[in-house]
Amino acid sequence: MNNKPIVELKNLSKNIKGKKIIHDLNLALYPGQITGFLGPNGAGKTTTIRMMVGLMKPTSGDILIDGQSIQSHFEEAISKVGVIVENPEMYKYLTGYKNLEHFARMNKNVSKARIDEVIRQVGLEKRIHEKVSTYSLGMRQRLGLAQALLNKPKFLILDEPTNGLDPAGIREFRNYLRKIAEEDGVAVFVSSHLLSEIELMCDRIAVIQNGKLIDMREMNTNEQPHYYIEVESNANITTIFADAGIVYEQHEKGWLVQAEKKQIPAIVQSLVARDINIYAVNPYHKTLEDQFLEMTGGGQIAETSSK
Amino acid sequence: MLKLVQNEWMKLWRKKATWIMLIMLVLFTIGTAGIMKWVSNSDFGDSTGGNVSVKKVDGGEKAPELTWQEVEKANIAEKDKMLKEDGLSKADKEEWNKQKSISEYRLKKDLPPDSEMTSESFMLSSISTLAIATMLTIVIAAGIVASEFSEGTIKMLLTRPVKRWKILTSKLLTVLLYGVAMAVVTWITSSIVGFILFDSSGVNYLKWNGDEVVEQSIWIRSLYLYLLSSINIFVTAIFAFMIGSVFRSNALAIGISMLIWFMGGTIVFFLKNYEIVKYLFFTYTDLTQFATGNVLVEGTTMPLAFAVLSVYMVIFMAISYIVFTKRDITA
Repeated sequence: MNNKPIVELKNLSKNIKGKKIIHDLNLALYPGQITGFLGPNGAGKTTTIRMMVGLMKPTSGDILIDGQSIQSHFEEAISKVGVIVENPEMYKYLTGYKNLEHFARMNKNVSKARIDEVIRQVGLEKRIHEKVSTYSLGMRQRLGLAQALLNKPKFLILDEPTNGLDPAGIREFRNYLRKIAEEDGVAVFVSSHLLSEIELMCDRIAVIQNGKLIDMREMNTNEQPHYYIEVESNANITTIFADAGIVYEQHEKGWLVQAEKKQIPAIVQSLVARDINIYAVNPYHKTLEDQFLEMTGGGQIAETSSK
Repeated sequence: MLKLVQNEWMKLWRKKATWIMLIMLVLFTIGTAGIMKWVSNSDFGDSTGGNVSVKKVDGGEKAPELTWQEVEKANIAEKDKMLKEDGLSKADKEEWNKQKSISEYRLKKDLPPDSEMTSESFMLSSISTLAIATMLTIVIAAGIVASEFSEGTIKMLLTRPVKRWKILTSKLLTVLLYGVAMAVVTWITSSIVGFILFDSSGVNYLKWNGDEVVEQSIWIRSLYLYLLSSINIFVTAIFAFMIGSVFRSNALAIGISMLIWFMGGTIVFFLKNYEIVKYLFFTYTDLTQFATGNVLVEGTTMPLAFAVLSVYMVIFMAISYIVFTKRDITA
């Protein structure tokens, strides 16, 4: 994979009415990688995204897209970006096709053939000549994706992209993102509240809280394997774990133990040997949601840090 | 830039409201002509034309029939008397002189004044219909930027590889184009309606150029008036455009523009006696006043009007461009 980042956020800060919304944010996004952008409400996700697409001006710091500053070389920088900011608001009184034509005219090299191609890709062929006002939310999302792809972006930035899509649509969308990331080397930056969605879609996640980047992790790094064990309640199980030198914690009705797969038979045998009834032994994966809550400490609305 | 204007033009005419407004404008022009022909034609003196069925109560307050020559002579005598009075203002003097000269010219060349509505006089009076065109242009001008904010489409529009000032310029050009289009529609509609509903007298417009009376083709005269009115539409459009770029709500922008536009005349009226009125925007929102001689504020002239308006235009545009290009988009 290419090691030169396509997008770089450098010491990005934003003050709104004297309040620091974004503190000194640094982030690099690489071709072919899908990065999830998470954070509790009010953490500064939308502000960051709006700065990345030139809708807001950073107070200090800069954003480089393919090496060009979005502030000093706006047209060159943004021509490599495809954007969906929140709900894609299209012109409702125009047909889907007219909307695409409208946005295509604002780019230098978008041909009629390209318009037809993206319509096919998002599966809107049948309804494209109808007015957007007759579209369902899911169809508007598809049209939103179509307009973002018109200019064959090197960098795709999506804010809440699956909002309003049906399960089949979400899966299709996910596969499509994977495909363009892998085949065309597009860097994708997705913000979403649907953590399970991010989990399935992303290669890595960036977590923001109170305007600061608090964590950046690869999704498929092997975390410590955990197993969930549920036994009869009055069993004196903690001493057994302690004797075996296993890290454990209470979880729901049972216990979560940190153990390798090969340790499991021994644990089960020791429980059976003590006549403890076992109800369940399952491999356990911490979901992104658990990790997210762990990182952000419960995910309450971020307090505005004034300065 | 051409493509951007094409975009804006397409968006404008794909809205139903735009067409409804256009139809309203045409209907209003036709309606005005209809009212003039069938309802209030009696205002135009005796039915010397003969083919118009104006019923009038005989006798009454009407003076015994005078020939138009007698009327003009009486007019000249009256103006002579008025001109001899003391303490006439320069503007009054000029006006009486003008009216007297025109009457004299009619007698000399044997040109009777229009005794009833003719195609020609309708053409010239239709200039007032342009107030509707101006109003429609205000609606469009105030809404063209504000509606993008209201509908949330502004974020789609501004994340294209086109700098913001270019987008704003394309919108401004579209508004001005719309204003011209509305003026042209009004002109064409009035010409057609005028020549269908009224008889053409074939006379020329009598113009007082300060020294003597000259004849001017009615077409040139009406085009001149329409040209001046188009400038009115332009400056008013730029004013509304500024309001629309500053206020992001569509309804608010249109409302405020309309309100200020209507209040403008009142403000001028109240400040009439102060020097400052000469430098107000609204003193000059109707340039035809200098062509017809009904000047709103004494001492103002066309060159002064152009000078003052240019300064306002620069200020209005500067505000629009600065606000639009610097603003953080949170819609």
